[in-house]
Amino acid sequence: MRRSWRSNRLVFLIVCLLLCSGLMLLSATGILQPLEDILSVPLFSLTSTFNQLSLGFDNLLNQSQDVAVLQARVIELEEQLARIQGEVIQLREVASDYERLAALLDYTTRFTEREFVTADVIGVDQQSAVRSLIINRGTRDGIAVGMPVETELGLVGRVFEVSASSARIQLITDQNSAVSGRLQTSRAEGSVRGRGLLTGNLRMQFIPVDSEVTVGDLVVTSGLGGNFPPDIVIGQVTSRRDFEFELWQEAEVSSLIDFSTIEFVLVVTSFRPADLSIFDEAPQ
Amino acid sequence: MGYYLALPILIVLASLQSSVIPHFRTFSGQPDLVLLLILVWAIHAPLEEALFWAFAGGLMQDLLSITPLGTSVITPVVIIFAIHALRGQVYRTNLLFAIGFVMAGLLLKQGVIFIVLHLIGNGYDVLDIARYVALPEVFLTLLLLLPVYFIVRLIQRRIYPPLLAHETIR
Repeated sequence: MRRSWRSNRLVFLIVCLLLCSGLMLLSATGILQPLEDILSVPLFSLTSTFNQLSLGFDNLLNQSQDVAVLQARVIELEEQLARIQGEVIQLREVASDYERLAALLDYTTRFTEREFVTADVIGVDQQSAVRSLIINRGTRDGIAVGMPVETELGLVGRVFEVSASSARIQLITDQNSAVSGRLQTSRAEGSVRGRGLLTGNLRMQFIPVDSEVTVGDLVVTSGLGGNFPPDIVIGQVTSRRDFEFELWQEAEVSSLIDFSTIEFVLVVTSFRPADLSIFDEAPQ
Repeated sequence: MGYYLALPILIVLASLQSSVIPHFRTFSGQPDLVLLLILVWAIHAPLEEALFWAFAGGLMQDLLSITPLGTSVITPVVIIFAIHALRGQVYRTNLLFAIGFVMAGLLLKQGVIFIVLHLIGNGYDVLDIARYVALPEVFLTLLLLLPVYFIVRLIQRRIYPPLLAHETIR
């Protein structure tokens, strides 16, 4: 009697595990995607509401900061603004010179106006190991897989899954993220990889050993590989490491974005990643 | 009654897990409230009801994650069967019993997710996950175990008839 009870439980466990495996297989192949999209709508709505509430609470706490600290910050920012206004005037002069010379050379600039869709962040991935965000825009708003996502402070990541009304963004901090980057001053190129940490700590690898890497250098997207448009700020170099017997060096890069408090992002809808799959095919 | 409570409680908890809980992340880990509640509920609940909680909670977690549907169900199902297999052999099902199963569940969950993510083409560094994700997650979840355990016991004492409660403790 006792023996049959145990074997029944074992069969029950195996049936449950087979059911899970079947679900995973159907889900991974995309067959369950329409069902997942429908089921996730109420969950995303509730998550969005909770997120708004918690951000509101955060803002409330932040507002009660010391007034004196804020006043000092205002003075500091006013000084910076005055300095930057001077630089803007100089840069306008340079830009007008550039336009004039470009017109003489009949050189067309590769930068076109970027089109953005603003999206609210409504949640983060349930698994702590995965660095991804959920936003409240989807195919209905023109979002497609591969589109870059940024804020005014720089690159956030790229869209890697999209439904009718929501999308998931793989953050540049995810361990599976690699972005072709370029140091702004030395123009040296490398691959900026996520470290899977909550903070915006990244690592720029494969920088040629003879390139100059300076702490404080800005790292921007290079556009190589066709996955991201060029010249989006990725972060700032905080330290560098070189290896005695290697042909490259590494730099620790810190994103300017606080990924734990992102409220909204800009999806670059005018950019589609280049399809390089044709080059992967073996020559006939 | 436990079946009716599962959906509203788990929907709210899964949503909180994606929205509010990330604000309390330590290092890169955060408490897994959904798994904690499922396992604590399972300690004194009938097997079928505990499995219903596992499937409902796990599927909701997967809907809010990149993992394929069903990934987050495996761990609670395995642990629930282990709880029910051992429950009859342990004189009293107490808090220590809960701590052991919750710890085992959290570590098994990280292992399962690591394997599934690898299979779907997302490789992660196992040492980094252990250091920055799994250990803080175990620590933070265990901090919440005591209040969750007593709240769950309070609810279960109200909803289960005394005879059933006696049977399940056994």
